[in-house]
Amino acid sequence: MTIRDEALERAKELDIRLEAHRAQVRVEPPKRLFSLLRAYLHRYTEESGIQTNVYDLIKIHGPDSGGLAVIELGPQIDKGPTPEHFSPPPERALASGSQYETEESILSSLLTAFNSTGMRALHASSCDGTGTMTH
Amino acid sequence: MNRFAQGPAFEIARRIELRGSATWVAVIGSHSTPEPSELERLCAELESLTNRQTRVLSVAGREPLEIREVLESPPDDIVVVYGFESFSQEDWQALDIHRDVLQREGPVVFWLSKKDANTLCRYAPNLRSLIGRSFFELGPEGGLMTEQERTKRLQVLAEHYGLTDQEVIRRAQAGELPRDPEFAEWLVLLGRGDLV
Repeated sequence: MTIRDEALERAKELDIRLEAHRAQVRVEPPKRLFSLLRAYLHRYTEESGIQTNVYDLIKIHGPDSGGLAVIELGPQIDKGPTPEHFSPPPERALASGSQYETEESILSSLLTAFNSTGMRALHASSCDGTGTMTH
Repeated sequence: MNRFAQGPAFEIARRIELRGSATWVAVIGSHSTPEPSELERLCAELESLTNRQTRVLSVAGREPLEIREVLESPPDDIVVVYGFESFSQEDWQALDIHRDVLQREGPVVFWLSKKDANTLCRYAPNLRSLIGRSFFELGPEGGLMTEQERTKRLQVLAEHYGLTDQEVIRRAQAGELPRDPEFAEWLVLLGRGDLV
């Protein structure tokens, strides 16, 4: 087996593990999660001293009849800093958008994120029901 | 008092967060008894911003001592108190005299109709004084994406991928749409979350 074949094999295994992890993530219903996210970002901006009104930046659309909602923070296509971006301090990374899917009232989430170096990454996110969020 | 400051639930929650414990706030809703969705929205914002458990208490038909007992179990969470539509002038005066039953470690949020608020101000002056200027009319929910914002986001996606909304729907129906999150967003914004 070549190095390339091994890398592909490892990538496939990683995909399977990530998918399994994502399927296990349970979060609050969309509007409740939106409140938690907004409160989290509000505290984050206060603690970080960021001059941003997060209430103007974070938006929710939905949920629709199927229970799907989109929570947006900043532009969905990243072309560099704009006033619509949420700009955390350089050493921190934050989610920029998320989609939710529901299955028998159980929701899973996937966040798309831009970290401080501009690289796009995927993060699973969960809320433990007490308002504490983990990334 | 006929005019109240208007604010969405998160603004009211922020004020409570800033003031900390033992805060009294009056929220003016459309009716004395809130709609379940209104209560849910307010409680969600209160819990999210303050990290305190929030519960609701209807005072309808309850004696002051009973109210105190419920408020003290536990004493430090946030309690949204409602059900004042049955309160007569005498009931407000009695509650004003026995206002100590409402004093506790955690915040108390009075859910009132405009009529309740005016009656409170008229017949319970000490309660009014304790609430101070913290009478807030519950405003529209903040954070909802406007139609203009939705359209703009769809335009950005269309320009970036060089696809029309119709083409995205067609590809989703054919199972040919990439699994990238942007396409899921695209479909939800088009009201076609069923294709995600």
